Amino acid sequence: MGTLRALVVEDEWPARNYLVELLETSRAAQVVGAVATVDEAREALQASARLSVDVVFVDVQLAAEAGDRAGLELVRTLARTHPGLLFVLATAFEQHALEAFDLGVVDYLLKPFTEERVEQCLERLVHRHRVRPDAPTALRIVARRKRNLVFLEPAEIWAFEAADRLTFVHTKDGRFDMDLSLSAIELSFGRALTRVHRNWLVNTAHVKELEREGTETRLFVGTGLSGDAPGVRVPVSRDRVQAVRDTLLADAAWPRRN
Amino acid sequence: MLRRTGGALAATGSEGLRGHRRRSTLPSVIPFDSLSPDVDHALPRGRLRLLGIGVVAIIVLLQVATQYVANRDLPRTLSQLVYLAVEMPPLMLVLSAVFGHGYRRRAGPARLVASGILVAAAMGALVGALWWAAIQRFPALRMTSTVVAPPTLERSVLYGVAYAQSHFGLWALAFLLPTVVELGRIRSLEREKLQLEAEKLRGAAELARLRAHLEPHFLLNTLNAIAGLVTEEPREARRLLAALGDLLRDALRDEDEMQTLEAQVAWLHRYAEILEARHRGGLTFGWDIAVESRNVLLPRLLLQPLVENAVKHGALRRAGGGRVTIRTSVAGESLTCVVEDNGPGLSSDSVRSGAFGLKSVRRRLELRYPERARLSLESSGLGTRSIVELPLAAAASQGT
Repeated sequence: MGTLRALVVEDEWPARNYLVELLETSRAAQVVGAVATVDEAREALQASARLSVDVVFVDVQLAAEAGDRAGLELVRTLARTHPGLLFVLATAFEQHALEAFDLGVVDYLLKPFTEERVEQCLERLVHRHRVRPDAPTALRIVARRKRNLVFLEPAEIWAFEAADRLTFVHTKDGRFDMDLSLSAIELSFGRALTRVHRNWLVNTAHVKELEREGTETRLFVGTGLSGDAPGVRVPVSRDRVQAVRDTLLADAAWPRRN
Repeated sequence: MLRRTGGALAATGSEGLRGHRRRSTLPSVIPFDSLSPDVDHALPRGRLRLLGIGVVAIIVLLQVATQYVANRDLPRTLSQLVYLAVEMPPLMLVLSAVFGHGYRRRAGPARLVASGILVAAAMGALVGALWWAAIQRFPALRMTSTVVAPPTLERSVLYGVAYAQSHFGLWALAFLLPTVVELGRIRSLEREKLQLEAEKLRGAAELARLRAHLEPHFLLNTLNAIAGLVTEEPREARRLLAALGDLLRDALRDEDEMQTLEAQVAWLHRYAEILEARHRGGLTFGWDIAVESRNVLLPRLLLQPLVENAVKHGALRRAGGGRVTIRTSVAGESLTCVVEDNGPGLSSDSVRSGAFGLKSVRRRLELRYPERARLSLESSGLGTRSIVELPLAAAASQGT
């Protein structure tokens, strides 16, 4: 389980999150990156990105690109430059299916996606997939600074924040844009993350302080203790305070609550 | 620097456009170029021309032969043959040239016949006069063996004119009749072609209307987006379902071709809402709807293809988020609607891919306001602006 490492190339926000959600819940794949444009996809697939992608899910129509089938063109070039890569197309109509199969596309997903269909597709992929022994096991996270992609080690992450209907990732190097919703991120990287607020996912390893001010509870996440130490202050929702405390205390040696 | 394309709409015969719908399948409609007249096309060519010449020659010779049989007057017959040999070829040539010229100028049949008669008369008079002069020098050419007074100049000219007229008649029968028949056929094909064109226009307008509401890619991608929002943002998902429902309701309603700008803007709002949600962070809309323009009537969802193009080929191509602004205003007797984006401007590529939408808007304007409305495009590296201007009087006359 969790063997296939997937890159999602989808220009629409809800569709991107949806596909990540479906892939992650299937437990047959891990999403190592979800990007919106052809350039970002190419960048994410460069060797230096160290994402070790096995399969790329590509939307045929990508809004930022010229033409109605930019996704297909992306597959055409990637199939040449990355011979081992598997491809799955996401499309509204089967019209490109024949050409896609000529390009070596393994499967295509019709919109709207369904859980069953995605699982079926993953089964097919697992069947075709040759396990690469050198693939790193740790996931890296793809974020965006303006038009550039940045690749982050999970351990570097302080927290993810949803604000103004967008998502950001906070690290010691600053705040970057994420092209995924909090839930999709939680699904992909959830093992190390705790949901402390409707809008916040926190890497508990970087929590330095649990602050209380009246009825408000906040976490300081960063390097060093608060004051002028770099970090972010994260609100904890009232109904999650107890659970967050428990999680933090469970990992700590003292004081332990009985 | 602004590039200006498009401009005033070409006049389109509204009569043909309202033609009845027929399922006519014309095998191969002659291209318009072949209708641009040209003598070679107007007059029979090749074997047909030879046949015409042959027919004229045979009729004339038969005439001469009959006369010879009747009066056994060999000198007269010979002189007649000489006369014909001198008169016929230039007359035929000049008639063909004059007819070709008239046809090229699209002269009517009456004018063609009149000019033929005049030319034949002039040529006949000329040859008659020459004949008279020739007879003065070579009396042997006189058309009789009996000794009578030589013909006067006047008689000779009259003879020439009358003879030329009968030859013009022959020429017309041999050459013109098939041409006229052919011409009628071409004209009827042309008419049919126009009718077909009109049908296509109507079809395109209908298709544009249908497509505007229910473009399948739009529909399926929206459904997929809603499916994606269900878990995480159920409220947003419900909001989009409602918006999509409104759009569909409007599509299934069989309403008038005209609607108020207000109703159209309300529809576009829903449409924009869905697109904004799908491209979160990458697309925003701005609205500037003048109060006095709200009750103006305009063709149903006329602006939709312009908004679609502005989104698809403009705003979404802008890295870091694009914006589409819709503005309406009333000035004097006309309504102006502007759809503007801050995308990379028109490339030759986007012109092609957005062309269907633009064409459909243009055609619908042609249909509804022949020559009184216009769609123009302005594009630069900073974005594209499509501007629709249509007459207010006609729009408001139906009242709201």
